[in-house]
Amino acid sequence: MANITVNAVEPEVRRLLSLVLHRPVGESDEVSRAAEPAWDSLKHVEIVFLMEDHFGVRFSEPDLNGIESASDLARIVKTKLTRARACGTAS
Amino acid sequence: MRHGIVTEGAAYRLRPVRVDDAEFIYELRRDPWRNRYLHRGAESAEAQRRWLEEYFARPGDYYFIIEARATGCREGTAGIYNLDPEERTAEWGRWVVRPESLAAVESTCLVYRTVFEALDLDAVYCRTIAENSSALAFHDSFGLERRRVLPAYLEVEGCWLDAIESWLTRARWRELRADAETKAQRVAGWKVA
Repeated sequence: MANITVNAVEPEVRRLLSLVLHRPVGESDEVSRAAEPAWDSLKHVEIVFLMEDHFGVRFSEPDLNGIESASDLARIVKTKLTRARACGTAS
Repeated sequence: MRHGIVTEGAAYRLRPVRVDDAEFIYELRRDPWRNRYLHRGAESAEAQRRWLEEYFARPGDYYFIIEARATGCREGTAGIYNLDPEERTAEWGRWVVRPESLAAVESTCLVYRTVFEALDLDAVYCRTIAENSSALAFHDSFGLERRRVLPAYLEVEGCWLDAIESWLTRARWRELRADAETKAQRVAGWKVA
């Protein structure tokens, strides 16, 4: 995901999430693991794999434990992209 | 029963439960909300110790600790029991993983490897309370087949809850294994990152 702007991250995260959860995830939907039975432990890792592959970022164990919602995912991806660009290590 | 089965994965291993795991198991099962769909655990570490002594004498029952290979840190439990040597089947359960652990996927793979390799069984099943939607979703996502409903299987606070029995055969495990273990290995990468 070479040239995505930070503002475009959240809609893209929600689009990807909808693919894994097999349901639309709207811009204002507060999708949380606790309230989403389909977001099970296996889906959780699949979601993170998808984020890593799509955005070219790398998650770690503490990141994983901080993801409870679509907003959390978007926030972490944005932070990683911003840091990586600042360091010149991401596309 | 006392057994010597150890199954190693990328980041975790299953190893036999020991008496000195009683405190850990008691603490793991103490959270009433997280464990609301499990059979009631021991009331104290001492009661857990007594339960383990009885378990050691019970044939066809394999109880494991899930521990991190790198640190030896205990992150959960799993059990394989109700083994039927004629049908070559068993049930698996007592699966509890610490909330912050990444062991869910790999520990499941390790249970299935133990069932089909170490114990050389033909099929395994698990019984999940119907209201436990995230655990059911996990088994469905993994590729298990729901076969039947067990009415009024477990009493929780005066209510009798149904359970769903989900099965995995040796042939199905062959189909699922590569994908599941690839995921487990990638998760292991997060752990050491």
